[in-house]
Amino acid sequence: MTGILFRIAMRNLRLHWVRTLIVGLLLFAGTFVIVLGSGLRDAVQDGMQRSIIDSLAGHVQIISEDAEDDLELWRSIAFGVPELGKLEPFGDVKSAIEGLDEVEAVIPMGVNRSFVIGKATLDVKLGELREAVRNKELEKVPALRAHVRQICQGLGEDLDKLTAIVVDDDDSERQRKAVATANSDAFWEGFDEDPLAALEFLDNQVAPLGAGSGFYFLMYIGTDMEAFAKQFDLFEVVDGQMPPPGQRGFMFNVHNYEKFIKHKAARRFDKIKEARELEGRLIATDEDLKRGVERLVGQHRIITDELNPDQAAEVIAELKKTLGSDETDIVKLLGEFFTLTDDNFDSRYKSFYEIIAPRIRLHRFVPGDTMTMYSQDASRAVNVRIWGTFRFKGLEKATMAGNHHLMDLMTFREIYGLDHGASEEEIARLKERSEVEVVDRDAVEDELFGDTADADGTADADDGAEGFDEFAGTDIKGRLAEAEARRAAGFTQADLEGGAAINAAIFLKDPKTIDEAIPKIEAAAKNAGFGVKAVDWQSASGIVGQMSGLMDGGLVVIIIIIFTVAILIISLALVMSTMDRRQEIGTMRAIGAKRQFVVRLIVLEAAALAFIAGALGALCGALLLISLGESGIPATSDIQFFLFGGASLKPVLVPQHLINAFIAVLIVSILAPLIPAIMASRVSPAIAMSGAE
Amino acid sequence: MRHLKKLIPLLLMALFALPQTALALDEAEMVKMLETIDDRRRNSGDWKSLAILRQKEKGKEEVLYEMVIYRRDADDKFMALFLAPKTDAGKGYLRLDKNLWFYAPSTGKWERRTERERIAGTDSRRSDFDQTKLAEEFTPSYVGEGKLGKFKTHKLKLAAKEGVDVAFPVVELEIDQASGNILKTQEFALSGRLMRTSYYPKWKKLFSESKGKDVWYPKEMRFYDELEKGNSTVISLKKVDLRSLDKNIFTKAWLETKSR
Repeated sequence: MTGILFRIAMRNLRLHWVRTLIVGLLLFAGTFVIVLGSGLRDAVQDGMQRSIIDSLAGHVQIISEDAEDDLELWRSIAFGVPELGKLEPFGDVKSAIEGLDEVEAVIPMGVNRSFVIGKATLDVKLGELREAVRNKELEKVPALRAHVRQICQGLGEDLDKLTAIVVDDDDSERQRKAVATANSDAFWEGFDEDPLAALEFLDNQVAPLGAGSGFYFLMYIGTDMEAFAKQFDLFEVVDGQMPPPGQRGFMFNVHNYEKFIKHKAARRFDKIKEARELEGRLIATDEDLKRGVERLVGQHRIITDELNPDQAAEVIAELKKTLGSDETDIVKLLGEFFTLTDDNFDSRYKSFYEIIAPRIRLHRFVPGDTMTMYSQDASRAVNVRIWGTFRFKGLEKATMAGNHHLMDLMTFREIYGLDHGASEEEIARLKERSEVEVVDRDAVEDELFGDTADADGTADADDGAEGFDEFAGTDIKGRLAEAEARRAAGFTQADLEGGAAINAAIFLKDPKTIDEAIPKIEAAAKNAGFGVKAVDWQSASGIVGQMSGLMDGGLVVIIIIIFTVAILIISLALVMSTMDRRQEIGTMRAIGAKRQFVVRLIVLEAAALAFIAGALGALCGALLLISLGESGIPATSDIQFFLFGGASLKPVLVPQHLINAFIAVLIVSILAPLIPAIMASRVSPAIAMSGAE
Repeated sequence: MRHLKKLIPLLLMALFALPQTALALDEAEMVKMLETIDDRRRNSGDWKSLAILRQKEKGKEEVLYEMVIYRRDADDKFMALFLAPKTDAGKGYLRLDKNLWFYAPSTGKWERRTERERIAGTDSRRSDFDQTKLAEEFTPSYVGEGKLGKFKTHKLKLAAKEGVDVAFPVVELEIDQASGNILKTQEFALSGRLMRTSYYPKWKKLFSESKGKDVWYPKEMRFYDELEKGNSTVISLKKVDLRSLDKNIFTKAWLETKSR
């Protein structure tokens, strides 16, 4: 009986091939889309997880339970550092948590933002000259003097041009006089008599007229850099090296380094190159690129200021050769060189990096430099050595993975203010000497000026005629040497773990145990006497984690919509196709077929069709996923690099998705025609055969 | 009757406006008042004072600093040098012409700073420790009479003149009517946002031989951060010395050698 049923079903499918083809295509497309969509969603979810977990977050993050704010690793702290409390001593917290079976590693952290000053070239050269004079490094003085004098000459020329178009006032008159003095032979002839006085003059009267200095705001993670590099899989050194164990230091994230620390002119060249090569934009037609070229032409000073007289002569000779020009004025030569067109861009780009780049400071700070960093409120300053640059593999172009630099935890504590260093005795002594108490904001006016307040509006006579010696009993000498000795001495692991961290990243041996691990981590810390809040990577990453959740939610919704629409279309197609067969069903019933036989026949036809088309759809979806997994879907925008967890999205075929899609389509294919088939089978054969409704 | 009804509000308005109009200061009077304040605080010779700063930040332990301030008002020169705690000793600010420099002894570097710089991260600014130039740098307008505790005050609103670099572009002063001393200031950003409220409850005066009369100074200053609520700074000037300072004291070289 089943064999007959199957043969009839197959015959019917063949006989009504147009209907079979249409319904089959729908079933094929539905299965294909479900398999492909599920695979892509998984890939994006994995990509984002990888971007977040393996760059900064780890699987779990902990902060003190006293924290007033939530931890958000990617939050901008431009307007204030969140109140997160501290984990201190970090080593004890770490030991307690690393004792758990689920935990692989605990990495100390703290996010902070500081600024460094990228001084104008004149300020830099004056600083170097001051240092050379102070340290009696007389061999350095002549070259630096010549360089400073050349910048002053350039300033004089700029001021002359400005005077020609701007009305004079007292300030410009004073500025012209100052620059004229700095350009006079008499000034430089007298320089050696009192170099510090001459430098004060240049510092205060001339340097403010030059190009403004730039502030670089750097967001960074203070951490155990060795442990960080080992634990975060995406971390990779690009240039230079990691600070040796026990050494303080700073590593630039190469994304931000190339975007902000690089010389302005070089950055502009790079930007135009990228726009032309990656986005197919042209200087001739793209307004943004045109403006970039115009700005470059007007910015010759950012090159000439950096060249000492010898370097300037070399650049002039090279540019004359390259441009085939007889011009000897470097400003005019640079103006011509920077007049970029689509035709000359490639050769000028090459020449820039061959002629100019080696003679200027291509990056404001380079590995090996010592950089002075200031806390956001400028109250604390530290010198920190730059050891190198790093990237998070595959995320070089993703801004979200490019903003955090790295710093050793010891320096972090100093600049964050975790280690103020003032002794309790000092503070107590100063409090006693201040003789004033802090008054609560709400009560201040009553306390200070109310009826019972001391203030009487008069000014009492002071009896300070005898004066005072501010340095009596105070020794403030040797501060720089102390700081340098402290930096040079480095630190031990005990120093590192004996102090505070703001938060910590926890890596689990099995990421799937995250939900069970979180309460265990909190309990283990509590048992060791530390109140901590543990959150998963998604919460800790703040807005980025929310974005990940939203993206995932969005993808799930899209897949559900596609699935529902596919199922609806398939169901409708099957219902319509069954309804169309009322006459045929009537005929079958008239020649003796039972109702049950008719219903089973229709369901079998649908199931067979779903089996074949669904299998084909799942197979094609799987093949496409495998192919995409091999070739990858290239990321074309900043955000895509982060979402994909690299330069391309490489979906992986998950067998479960095939089974899910196949079963879903099969169930729908069987259920959808069932009701119309039952209804059709109940119609009297005479009516059905007559075609009446 | 209808006309009378219309007149009543006008009469009432006039009645309330009367005392205000009667007491309002005209611009010349306000400038005079500011000039008096500036003149009292200025010394024609040198100035040295010892200050203790107490900085309270929300959620953090209190931080205290001891700082010595040097001024040569005639040349607009200003210098501040931190003496304690040891971790901050040697830090300094130096103002020459329109340049404000900051020196960090732990780095050995000088950097330019603006007038908005918070001194050592506290709620104080360089101008809080220097002579004032209110009449020269601001244009006043009269807000009205006020009362601050037991003091009757004049309230003046000052707007910074164009091209003048000041810490806050708009300042509201409450000046004691009896003594002419500033008791309270509120400082605003250009957007109108209140940035800081300051109180000057105690004033002192010291005879200056170079000036030939008294120099006035606030013995105690209290600053409340209006952006970061909960942050405040109290400054007490412990000692003032008006004797002449060394001629070459206002230089980078002098300041950095103190901590080198």
